[in-house]
Amino acid sequence: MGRDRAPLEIDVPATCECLSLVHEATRRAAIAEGFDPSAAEEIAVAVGEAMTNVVEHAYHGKPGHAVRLRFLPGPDTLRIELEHRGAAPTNLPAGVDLGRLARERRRGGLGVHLMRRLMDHVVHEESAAGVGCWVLERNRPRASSPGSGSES
Amino acid sequence: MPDLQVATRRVAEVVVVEPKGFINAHTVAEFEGVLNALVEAGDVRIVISGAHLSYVASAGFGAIMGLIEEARAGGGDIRVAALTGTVAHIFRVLGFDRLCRTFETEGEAVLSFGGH
Repeated sequence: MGRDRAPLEIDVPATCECLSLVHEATRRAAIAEGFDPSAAEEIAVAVGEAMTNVVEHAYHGKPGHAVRLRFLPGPDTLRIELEHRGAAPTNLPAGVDLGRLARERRRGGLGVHLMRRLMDHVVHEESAAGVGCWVLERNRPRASSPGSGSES
Repeated sequence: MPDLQVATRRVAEVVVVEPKGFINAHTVAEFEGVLNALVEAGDVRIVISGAHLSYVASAGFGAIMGLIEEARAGGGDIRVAALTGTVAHIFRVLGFDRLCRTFETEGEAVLSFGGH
């Protein structure tokens, strides 16, 4: 996938069974865009977190829904969108207190934090038509390091 | 080959948990089930060897987070060894190196429990 090519779009069933497929598709797309294997793996993990959020929170684990995965190579970044028609996330945490979560025996609450640590820009957008979209961007190599970009 | 296989071995009073494959929201039940069973049985001195993990998503770290205080309350701990590559990087960026003791090798992690 070159930087001057059209975006790549894939429609994927919104199920946890498809997480490994999304991971591998993202990893390969990132490598094709010039990211080294470890950066590509990080991008794939971040996209998997967004996919998990859609499956578990937007669609509440209910079958029969889909996610549109879109890879948008730009001159400075690789932008990846996950479009869905489920519920929008609420109260996205600004950060996490691992000690508190552990004391409370919590097993969740890390996904958005991890996305933000691995990518340079993470935001969830919602349209008036009820379409939600996770937008994740990672700067291309030789740009600023992950996590230094804006967070939303 | 399954996406995740989780083996356990006993080394003295320590149980080494060795997941092979990847841990995400789909496979985490297998990993979490093994940890849950150990803690519920009172096997609370646990070393997770990450040598054969290709990646771990937040669900996998959440499984450790949800049980580590239970293990400590029972007089044990969950310690992690032999993390490499992206798994080690994600462990650090999530801040798990402040929650959970980590070791370069499984042997060091097992020995760290000493007689306690």
